[in-house]
Amino acid sequence: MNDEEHIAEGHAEDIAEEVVERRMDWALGEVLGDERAPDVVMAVMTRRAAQLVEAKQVRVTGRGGPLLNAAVLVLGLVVVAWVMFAQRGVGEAGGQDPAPDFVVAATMAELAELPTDTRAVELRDLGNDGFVALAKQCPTLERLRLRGRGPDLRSFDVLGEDGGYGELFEADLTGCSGVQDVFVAKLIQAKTMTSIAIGGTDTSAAVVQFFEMTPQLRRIDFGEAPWLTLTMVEQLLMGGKRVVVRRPDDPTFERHVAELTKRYYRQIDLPYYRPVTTLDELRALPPSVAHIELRDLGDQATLLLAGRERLRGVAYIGDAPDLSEGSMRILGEMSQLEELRIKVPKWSGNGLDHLGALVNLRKLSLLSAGAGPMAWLANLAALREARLGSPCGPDAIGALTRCRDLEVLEIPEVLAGDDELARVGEMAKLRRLRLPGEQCGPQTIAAIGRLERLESLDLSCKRSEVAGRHPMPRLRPLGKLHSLNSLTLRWTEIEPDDLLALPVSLAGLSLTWCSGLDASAGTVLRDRFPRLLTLELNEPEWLDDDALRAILAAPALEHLSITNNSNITTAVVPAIVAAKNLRHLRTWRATFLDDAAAETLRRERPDLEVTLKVW
Amino acid sequence: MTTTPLQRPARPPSMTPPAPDPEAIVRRHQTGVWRYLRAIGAPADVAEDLLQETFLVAFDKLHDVGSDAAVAAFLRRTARHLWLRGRRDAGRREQLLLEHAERAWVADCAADGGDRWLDALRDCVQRLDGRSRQVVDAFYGERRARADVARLVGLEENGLKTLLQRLRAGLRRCVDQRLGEGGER
Repeated sequence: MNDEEHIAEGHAEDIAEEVVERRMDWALGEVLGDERAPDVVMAVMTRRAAQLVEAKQVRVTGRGGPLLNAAVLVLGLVVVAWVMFAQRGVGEAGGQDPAPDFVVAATMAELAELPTDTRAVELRDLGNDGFVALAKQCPTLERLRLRGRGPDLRSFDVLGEDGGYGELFEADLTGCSGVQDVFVAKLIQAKTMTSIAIGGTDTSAAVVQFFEMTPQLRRIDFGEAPWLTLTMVEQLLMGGKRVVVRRPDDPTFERHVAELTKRYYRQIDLPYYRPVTTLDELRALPPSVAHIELRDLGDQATLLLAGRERLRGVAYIGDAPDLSEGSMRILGEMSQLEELRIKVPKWSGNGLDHLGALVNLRKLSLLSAGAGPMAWLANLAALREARLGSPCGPDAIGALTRCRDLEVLEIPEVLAGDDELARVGEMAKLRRLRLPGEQCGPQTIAAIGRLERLESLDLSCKRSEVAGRHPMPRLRPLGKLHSLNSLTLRWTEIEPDDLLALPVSLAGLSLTWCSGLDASAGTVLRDRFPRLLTLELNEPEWLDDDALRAILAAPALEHLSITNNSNITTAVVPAIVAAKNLRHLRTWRATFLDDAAAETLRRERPDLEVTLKVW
Repeated sequence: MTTTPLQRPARPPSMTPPAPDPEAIVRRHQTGVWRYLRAIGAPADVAEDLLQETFLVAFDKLHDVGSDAAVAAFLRRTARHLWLRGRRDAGRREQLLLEHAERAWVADCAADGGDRWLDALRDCVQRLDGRSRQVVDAFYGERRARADVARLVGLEENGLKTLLQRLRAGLRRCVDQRLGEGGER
């Protein structure tokens, strides 16, 4: 049956309707929900690498014809896909696991024949001998997988204090016998190490403290470790580490881990920047290091960076008096750069326009540049995040509107009128926005109200003891921001009605040094924001016992900060005890927490963490 | 520390034309291809897998393809083929549907991976209010079940189905109109 015959049979309308239905299913999911195109670059490239290795092995062995080769290749892909699926755990987006392009060594003889530049090796049942020999055989090893009988602490007696694995960034010890806490603690001392898997080993809960103390570690796969608690998971997530754990028999635990991961998504998956303070240290860094933080280093260090093909991110911080236009010119030629951060006091910012050539740059943070023309920002087609410390004029704002994928924008100083600043409304993909509140007039607030994807908004004003709080325009337009979960309004003056106009989706609200509210705000905060987790109320002159009792009854409140308030009395202590979800109370110059009240809280709510500052 | 003039070592001249950079191709086209897969009916989790497969299958042939638009079209063809391969049972109707979807995509999304079309839709959704907005928020935004949404707005499931049909058609007309206006400017 051909197209025309289908139309004749009356199928055409059906089909047209279904085409629209399918397209709307995608498009409205993206416009209204949290559906986004995944970033599969890493997954595809690692699978591509696996394909090439597989194909090469088939060619080298020379067995079989094209059909067999194709079959092996397809089988390889199936295995890759299966491993990726099988390794996927809670707390991890699907499809991002590295593919198994490992060379396997099951005997010491095989190990001794490995090329010295091998970068990924799987050792099977080779214990301490294999582990020690591999460090010497393959000094530039980047990925290590141990299976069967594993090494123990004695291997480090041979390898020495530096551990021998100077370029290792991934270790998979899943199911490896003999591996214990202290061995893992030693292994993760490798300064390049970012990922480790310890499921099915002889490790215990004690190993978590070592993970917490290892800043470069970014991903930990615990397998089905039964001793891992949600508190441990949260601590690790707060420290920027992605946690992968599988509990097939405990879906509730898995769901909580997924929720925690979502809560801390901003902290995790950030690359680790290797700090470098001297040129010699920089020269000695392995070529695999992709993110480098230069401390007190300028032009000379930039020259050394020029040859590093695998570099993806650079940060300049501290004192770098010689950071010149020459550095900007060289950086502009590093087309592979994805992240750049410069926080160097008294830096002129000369030559910034060279950075306009960085077509792959996704994150830009210029926190100390002098003011200058910023039209070059419009060339950064891949830019997702921009943080600009220098005052931004209309040229910078206009240029940023042309970065169509911009998701994060932080500009604490603006030299533009309300109508010019309102152009932020054209940045439709913004999820996070920080603007100086004192510069935001009604047009800007209305424009922000159109940013439907916005999740975090900071409109704090500059602190001024003399001028006091800055009156904000009416915030009613923000009520349309259904995705907004964090709002910061420091040093502003708002109307009580404004609270009723804010979106109910808020999970974090900072009204620090914010004036204009009255005691009715307590019940509004309790009733309007059912998902409110974090609330900051520094110097709230309107807050009294009744208002605080109402706030403490907010159903989801976990973190509360109240400082400098003398209207509150010890009569609220029972309400604090009764606030079962409250996990952290931060107070400062708080008159309501005397010794007796503190003792009551210690006794009645041992789970509640109270931070009390008295100065 | 002394300041010295900076000069980057010269690179040797290249004698061969640059090969297409696979990583750059993925980065450039992944959003468009994923959206296309979703728009032709692939559920989100399936679309992610198909997206990866699309690039892996296509890589070997991309060097013959040419311009950016041609690469995008080639990737879409590959993606469509992979999606259809998993739905052989759907038969001729599915093929026909995909041909229609492809024509519609080429007409208004292919040039920019759907960015402009989505922007127009976003504006149209903002114009919805009352029950219409409540329904699209709940059904598409929160992905609630049809029965749930029907209960929420006090309709029978069939009534909701009809309402959703009308809403989709209305949004489609609104988007077409906005894109038409944009084209005339």
